[in-house]
Amino acid sequence: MPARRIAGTVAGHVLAAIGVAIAVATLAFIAVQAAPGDVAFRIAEARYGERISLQTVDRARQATGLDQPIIVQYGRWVGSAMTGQLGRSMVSGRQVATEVWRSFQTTLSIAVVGVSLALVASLAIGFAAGMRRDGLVDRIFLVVSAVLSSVPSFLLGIILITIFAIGLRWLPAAGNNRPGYFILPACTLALALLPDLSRVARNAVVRTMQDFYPTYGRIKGQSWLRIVFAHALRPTLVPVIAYFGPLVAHTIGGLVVIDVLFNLDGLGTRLIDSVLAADIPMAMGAGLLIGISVVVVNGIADIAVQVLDPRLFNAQPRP
Amino acid sequence: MITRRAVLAASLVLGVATAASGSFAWAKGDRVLEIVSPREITSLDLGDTSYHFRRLRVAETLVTIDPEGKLAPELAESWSVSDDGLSWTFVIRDGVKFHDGSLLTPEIVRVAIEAMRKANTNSELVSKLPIADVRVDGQAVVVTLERPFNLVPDFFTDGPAVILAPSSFAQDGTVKQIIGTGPYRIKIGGKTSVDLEAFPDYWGEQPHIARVHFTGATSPDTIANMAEAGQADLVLGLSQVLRDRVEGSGRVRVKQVQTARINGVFVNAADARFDDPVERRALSLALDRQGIAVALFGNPKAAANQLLSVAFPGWHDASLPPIRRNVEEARRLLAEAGWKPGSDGILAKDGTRFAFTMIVGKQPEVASLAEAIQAQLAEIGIEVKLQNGNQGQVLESVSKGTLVLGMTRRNYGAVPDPVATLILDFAEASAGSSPWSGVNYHNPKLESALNAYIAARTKEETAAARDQILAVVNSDLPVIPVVWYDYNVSISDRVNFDSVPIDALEVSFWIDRVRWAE
Repeated sequence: MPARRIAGTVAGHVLAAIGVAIAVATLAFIAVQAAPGDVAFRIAEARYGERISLQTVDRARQATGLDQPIIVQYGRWVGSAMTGQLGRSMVSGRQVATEVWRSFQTTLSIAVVGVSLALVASLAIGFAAGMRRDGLVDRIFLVVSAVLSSVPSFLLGIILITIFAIGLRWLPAAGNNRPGYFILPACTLALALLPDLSRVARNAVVRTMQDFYPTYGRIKGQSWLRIVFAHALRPTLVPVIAYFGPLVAHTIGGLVVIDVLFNLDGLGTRLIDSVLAADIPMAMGAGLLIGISVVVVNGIADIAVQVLDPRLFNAQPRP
Repeated sequence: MITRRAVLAASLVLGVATAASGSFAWAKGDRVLEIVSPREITSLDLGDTSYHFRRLRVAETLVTIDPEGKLAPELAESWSVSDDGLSWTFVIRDGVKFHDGSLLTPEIVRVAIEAMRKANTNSELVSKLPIADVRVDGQAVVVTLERPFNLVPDFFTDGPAVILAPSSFAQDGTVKQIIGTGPYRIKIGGKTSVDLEAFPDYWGEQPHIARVHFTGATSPDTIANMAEAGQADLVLGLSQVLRDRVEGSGRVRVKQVQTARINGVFVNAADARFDDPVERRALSLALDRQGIAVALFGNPKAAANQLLSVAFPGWHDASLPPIRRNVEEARRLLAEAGWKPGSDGILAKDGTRFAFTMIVGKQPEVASLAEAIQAQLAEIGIEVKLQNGNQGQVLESVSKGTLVLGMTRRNYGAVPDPVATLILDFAEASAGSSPWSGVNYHNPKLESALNAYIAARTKEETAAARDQILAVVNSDLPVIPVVWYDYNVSISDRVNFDSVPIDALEVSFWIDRVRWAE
């Protein structure tokens, strides 16, 4: 039964989400502790900046319970997290859950727009290039995609800022208080994802077009549009969506760069800043949410693939 | 006769005119002043956050510093001191309202001062005052001291001395929200951005611009992008290395002032390499300040020849000549102190090599400055290894006793009188916890001069103590000044350039005085 199979998939992913979230949060805790130097000095630096002194370090140490053994600190956080309490930031004193959720919303809006743009563009490019393998469009695509994939995402962002924010003044260069603030960050993300995603789409189209049913459609005199939408789109989507797992991991790395470049208080910078500032509850809270997000997206991709091509999961193992 | 066509035409003209005037009104009335600073609001701890909200004109202190660097009344409309110098009376301004509508009373001020006394950190100056008692006397608050201390009004200009409404604090005394008395109140607050709106019940003059959006951005390039894109009306603290780029865009103008900060190096005076003032003088002579000032900071006037800059008119000696680089003299002084080149060219004495590691911050100009210092000291046989880090790591190495030499960006203008900071750095009681002007440096002459300054009863006594302080810090060199720090404010063409005050002590952004361009 498809419903039962999907329910099984969901249950598996829920279990995986719990495991991955705890693992990522624990890794964040280890990363904070493993960095060289006394944690209290890093917290005081983040809290007081240039006004740091030995007295403010002592104040930070006492206020944040850092005088407790590491295993006690970890156990206390896990215990609180089990009851839904992520605690307060050691740097800002604000609720971790509130701060992390706000950053998540920023990241989500950029990720959704950026990934959607990349998906639509990669399918369009994939079809344009893959329908006529080794044709002019295909050759141009291969060259452009090779060039684009070698450009780091921060450079792509700078190019977009230079053209659309500084040159034309159409869009904001940074921040999130103006309409359309997410367009340049999302486009930067989309351009960073486009080369790999469109190559997957193009290869899938090439494979699909070698199959019998597009040929049969052509023999029947169907138009290219009908062939694409009625026959080729669905099988092309399967590898593209299956590629979403590694894509999400890649996206998180890219989002850190985008957060910094566009001065966004997203989840990526939240994690990096909190690890550098030894803000243990914040680092673990951000890690927890990132872990859950990765598993959720993987789960959605899995279910989407099952829906698009049930044969992949109906296949019986060979005797 | 009025025709239907005429009525329609008149309606059309009226409609367009109304829409135009409406949009004009919106453009003038609803325009938001966009300001950007390289500092984010990381916490609500008053030791840090008070500086932000005072600059943003949300929170106020009893006494303030005007843009010319002079003491000025704020929540205290006046103050006076008794003849014996022990009782300071601050008359609290009547009718001042907090942003939650409650009234400022002398009792609230008294409780706030009591809380400041307990803070006991070097980032909160009031805790360093020798206060014996604080009491309310009618509309005044009287602060009684254990001994005369001349800088009481100066100390009350410190950032953490802001007076907040009682509703700002949680039961445990921590700050949960900023409810001040300033001309702006917080509408929405966050780490990287804050929305402000004019407070209609402000006791003083209403701000010219009703809405302000503040962005804290730590990346200097992002700030420069925002300025060039016309997204920032004011960039307060534009990096010196990006000044030319931003100004070159032709869309903004930059105002610059020399601040009370010094970019320099401080030493561990107990270390064998720097325990003799001769060694510190040699290091000072090895540095090419003029070259650094021009090449890295684009301003020959930034080369520092003394500890205190022109931001302190009463302290800066304009007649002092520049310190020119003199490698031969530096080598001679080190040889005189017993340092001889080893087989690798690095100086050594009694088995100690003149080599050490210096922790360097991530700011672009600081990294370049460190590399310049490294190269210039190599020429006199001193080996410096650079290690990326931050101030926390520098302080940690101080606490472990491993620091030999560090870079400092000390601000001597936390309050208008530099002695406040010098006391923190050099007075015996507090010097150990504030190493930014030198570690393990003690000079009884300096301590005695500082004590004489704060207890002086006449102008002559004050002047004599000041001369003694300057003579010691400029000759002993616990801090070796390299360049003074320039504060840049970029101003977009939407803003009236002349209306933007620029403050050498970085006390306030003075955004309530800013006007739109006509």
